[in-house]
Amino acid sequence: MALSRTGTVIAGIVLAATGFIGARGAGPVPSLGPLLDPANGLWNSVQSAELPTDATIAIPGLSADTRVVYDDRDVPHIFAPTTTDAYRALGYVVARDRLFQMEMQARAGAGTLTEIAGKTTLALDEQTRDLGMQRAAEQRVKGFDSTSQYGVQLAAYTAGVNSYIDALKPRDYPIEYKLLNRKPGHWSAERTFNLMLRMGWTLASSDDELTRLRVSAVVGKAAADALFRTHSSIVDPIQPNAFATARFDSVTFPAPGAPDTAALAILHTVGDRGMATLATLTSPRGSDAVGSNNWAVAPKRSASGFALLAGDPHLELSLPSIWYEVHLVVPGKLDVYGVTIPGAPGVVIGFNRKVAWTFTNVGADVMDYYLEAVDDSASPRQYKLDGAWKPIEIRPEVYRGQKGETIKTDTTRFTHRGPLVKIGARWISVRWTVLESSKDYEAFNQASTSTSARGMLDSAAAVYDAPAQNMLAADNGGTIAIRSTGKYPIRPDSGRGDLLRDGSLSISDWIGRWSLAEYPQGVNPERGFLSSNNQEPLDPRDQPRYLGSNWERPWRGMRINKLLHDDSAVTPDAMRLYQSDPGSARADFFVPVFLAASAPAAAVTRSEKLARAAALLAEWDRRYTKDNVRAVLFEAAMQQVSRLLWDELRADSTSQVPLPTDMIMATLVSQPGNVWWDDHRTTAVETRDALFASALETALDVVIKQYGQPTGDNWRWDGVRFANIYHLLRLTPFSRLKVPVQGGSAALWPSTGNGQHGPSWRMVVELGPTVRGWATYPGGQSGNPLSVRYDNRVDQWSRGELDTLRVPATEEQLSSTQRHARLVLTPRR
Amino acid sequence: MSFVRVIGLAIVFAVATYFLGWWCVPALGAAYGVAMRRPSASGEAALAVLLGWGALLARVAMVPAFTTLVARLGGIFPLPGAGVVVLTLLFAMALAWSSARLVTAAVVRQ
Repeated sequence: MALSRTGTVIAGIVLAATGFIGARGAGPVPSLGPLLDPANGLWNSVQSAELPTDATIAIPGLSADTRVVYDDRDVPHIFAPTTTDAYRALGYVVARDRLFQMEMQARAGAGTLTEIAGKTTLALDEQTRDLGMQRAAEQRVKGFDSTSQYGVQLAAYTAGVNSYIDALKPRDYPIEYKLLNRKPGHWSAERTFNLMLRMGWTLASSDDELTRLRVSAVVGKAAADALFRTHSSIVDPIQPNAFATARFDSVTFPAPGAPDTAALAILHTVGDRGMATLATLTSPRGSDAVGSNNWAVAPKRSASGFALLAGDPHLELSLPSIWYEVHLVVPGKLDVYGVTIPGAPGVVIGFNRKVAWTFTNVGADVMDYYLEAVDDSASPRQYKLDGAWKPIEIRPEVYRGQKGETIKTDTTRFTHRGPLVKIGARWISVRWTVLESSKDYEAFNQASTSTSARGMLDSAAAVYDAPAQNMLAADNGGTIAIRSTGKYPIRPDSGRGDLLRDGSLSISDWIGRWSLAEYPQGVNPERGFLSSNNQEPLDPRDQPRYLGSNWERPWRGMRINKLLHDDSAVTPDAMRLYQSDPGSARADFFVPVFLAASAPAAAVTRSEKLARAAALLAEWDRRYTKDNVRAVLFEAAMQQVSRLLWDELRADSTSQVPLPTDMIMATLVSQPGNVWWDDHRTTAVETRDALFASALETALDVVIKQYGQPTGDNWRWDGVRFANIYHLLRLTPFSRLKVPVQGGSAALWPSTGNGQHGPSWRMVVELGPTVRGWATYPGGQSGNPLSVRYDNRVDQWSRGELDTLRVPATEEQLSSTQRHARLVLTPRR
Repeated sequence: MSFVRVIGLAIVFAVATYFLGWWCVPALGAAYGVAMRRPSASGEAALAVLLGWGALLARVAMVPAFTTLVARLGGIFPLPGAGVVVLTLLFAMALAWSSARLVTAAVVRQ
């Protein structure tokens, strides 16, 4: 049989094409050769989906055998002879389940995502580096005492991670590496600091200065101060005050004034693009779903007579989950259970045999902006301070692509305050506690071995600076205690941090920090419980000093405090139910306002639509249950109130002026004739009631248009709000979307529009003679999307259920049915 | 075409891929073309790699997570999950056939 020339030509083309695409890929098509290889590519990922039931692996550095028993909830219980061995094993087992996540989170904190994900992440990397986060991580490494207890533990953890990476064959790489045609990078202490700094950015970056600037430029300074207050107008603080319930403070709201010329001038020079640049430096705010809940109940108010603690941090939801559940046991030295952040050694939230602890975010203002005078607006090398030119620290930045190629070079700059960023025609420097030295993870490690709630808080306060956290602890001696721990700057003159300051003067700089005695705190209060929900931690009548502004709304705090106040025999199961309580203090406040306004208005206007809307709203039980069919109308009506009430701020549709929260709206309710209720676009003078009635009437139209008539399940709440838990690469098949949840805006299970934030770890602990715990999180222990352990807790989380935690003091205390797999790590000589 | 020879070549494809990676497919295809020196070599190479890679796929298909993978790949590739399986086999066959065909053409011409 002869060979045709045509066939040969075709073969040449086919070989060239398949060879090229196989080796290099083309456009969006990745290199198909390594990807489709059935022995080493993505197909082989199924082989590592589940852990072997019994494995023995030698790793260097261990002093003796360390046994890891995975229970039937897939939680590794690490039984180690020394603390160093325990942390080495921790690094190994976390990497075994979450390697890709670790690298992604660290790269997000280092500004090197482009090296793994390509140019699409360049903007994110630029933000990170502009803020000096990689520089801060490098400085932490330099200033780090590697011989300290924590230094040794971090080194052991890092070595444990690298032991796992070094033993990996390409065929065993996590599937994401195969899809991206990348291989895992080595772990280092710097990477741990990268991801800790990233967490700081998520929790403690703020742009109150921008908010005030934008609002002042529209309605003047006085109005801006009233609408974006430095103290909450509804006071239900974390540090218990003299009031049994929330106090509604009277506020004078100045009428909308003339635009502030100074603010206008700054906005003019900065421009919209400059403001947008500045806004990207901070993590998104305005959603209470990023906030958190915690509370503790004293023995006198618990059914068992033991202290109870509930932890419920709300963060961005992701798959794999931000948390990894572990138990570390070193006989006589360490016995701690809880969740760790993959990549950082130590249990962040959890308990030992005597103490349980958890956190919520303080939300204090720890990030300030300074307008700087520089020698060259295009490429400054000096900045002016007290009349003298000071050198700017220049740092070259190189952004590399997936193949190591340079995709951009840039320069970051720093003054003595911190990063210097160009926004429009101006340069602004940033001072931020997160970038400054903090021994945050030392605090977590000390918590692991604490023996009392007070001791836990004291040891944490000695080393912990950022991101500031409301640290809540309870112990088996019956003590409950809370302290808002972090570095809170003291500023000159007015003390406010929500004003852009003059960077050319050193008197603008911070002049100190709050002393420990001034921190918001409480121990064993008379009322028998403590709670925090990101609200202003101090009653301004007790401590008026500036700590932050535009505080989180008080509704979640009011709700949990009411539930705890009304329950004098709290059980762990009640704590669990409170975590997903569908009630709402916000709805309890506003629904009567709507109904009171609508009845007379409907009678006067003879509006059947308004009467119908009011009747429908009156049917609502003010609960955000999944099958609720009226909550949607209330939420739509609240949006309409905001739209109508803040018309003065929305007059200029081209600029994004932030709108005040519904805490301010609630405060205004007591002033029915206030000029802010008036719609300035009409000649008539509207009052509060007219606005609420109009909002409700319009809301009915909006909801019917979007969801249909209020019949059957058309308006079911779980068809409106749900959780969207995306994979880290936002690959839909690896994500869990439209997960029904029982919660709403300002409910204890807050649920926002995009559903990408929410309760990230729910834990209840009873501190009796034998500690007992219950918990879950929206994900699973494995980071492998092919594993049954990848998302197996999501449905349980969605139902608001918790698992009973297994907390064996020895391996033998786990029954054979409770043991799922075993790993023995032996020293490699 | 010798059935035994094709089976033998399939085993070689599978073993080589397992230990050395996907690029062995064109290399082995070319080597087979040189060794056979006849037009049917390319077709035999394509059939052998189909069997070899098919066996490797069958091996991983025994794992329960394979079903999950196939289902989820459908949302990542612009193909149904099963289509990615077919793509995998076609990719290997194209490499083996074309390399064997080119080399055979060269050696037969000599």
